[in-house]
Amino acid sequence: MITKDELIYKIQTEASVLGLDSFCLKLVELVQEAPEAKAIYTYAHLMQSVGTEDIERLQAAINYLKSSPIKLFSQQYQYVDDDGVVYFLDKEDLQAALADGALPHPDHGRLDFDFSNKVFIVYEADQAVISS
Amino acid sequence: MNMTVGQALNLPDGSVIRLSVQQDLAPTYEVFCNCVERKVLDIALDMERNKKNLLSLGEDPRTTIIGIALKAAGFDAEHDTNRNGHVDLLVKNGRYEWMAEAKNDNGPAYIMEGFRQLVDRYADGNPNSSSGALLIYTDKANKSTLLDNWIKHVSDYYEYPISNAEKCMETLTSRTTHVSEATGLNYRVRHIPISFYYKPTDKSARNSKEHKG
Repeated sequence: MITKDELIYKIQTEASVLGLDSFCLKLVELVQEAPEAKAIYTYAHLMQSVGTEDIERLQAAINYLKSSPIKLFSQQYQYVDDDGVVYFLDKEDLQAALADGALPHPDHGRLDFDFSNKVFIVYEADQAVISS
Repeated sequence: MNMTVGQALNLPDGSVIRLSVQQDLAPTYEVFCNCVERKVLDIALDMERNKKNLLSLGEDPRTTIIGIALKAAGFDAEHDTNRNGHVDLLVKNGRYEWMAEAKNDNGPAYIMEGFRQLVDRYADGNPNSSSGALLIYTDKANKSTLLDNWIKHVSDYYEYPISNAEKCMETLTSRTTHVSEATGLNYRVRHIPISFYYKPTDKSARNSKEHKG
């Protein structure tokens, strides 16, 4: 857990070295103003919130905020099957699928050889990381 | 726009998104370490290309910059973490750990202390923490010779036999391997000199405000 003042200070002294402070501050504001304490964000949502088309630079800012000791975001993987049902995958299951070339469907176990085009990268943010 | 793992892994080399996913999903410790070391080498090159702006910085701030750049690249990097002492850089992914110790080029005896801290004090030498790096910041000329002399010194003076991989001429780094006394497994060290030598000889650079300090 980190106070908002400490977080802003870290961003202003560290992320500014790489010119990421403005994106980082917007991301912190987004998380703090979210109606839910824990929320899942897609790249589309984050790009719109930060107001950028520069997805690589946005990724660098997310990366900074998901690293220790901040850990405001965590990287997650969502599998959307052919029926549109969403499943969160454990990293270990995804690693195994990449090694095997197929993902066993989380419900019925049928192998999906096209899984890598159906697993989306999303970010979970937790307001509780920032103490008041 | 949303991004699938397949799309991310097909982005060009150098993509922050691609590297973030690659290192997060690294299937083996070796793949993870290769991702870290490749990025550290990229950062070192960037620092050398901007050396004029980094000349006044000491050992610790230079290492802090490497740590921040690793974080932005997607690695869970920490500076000064306690591991039987304060390791300069620790990069983690689950059970995987890669460490680096940084030293200014104050002579081989001083650098040797960094090597000993890394391999005998901080690193436990277990299968998922059996690689690290020694970063050597030098303000002197000819880092290639520095590297050769350092590798000879560590081979001559470290108490345990060290096997030397050939110097990589593309990155001007070396790898050594020795048996970790704690575990009996091989411990691999990448030796990475980073040059901050800056002595421009052209008139405008010599007369510039920055060069005069």
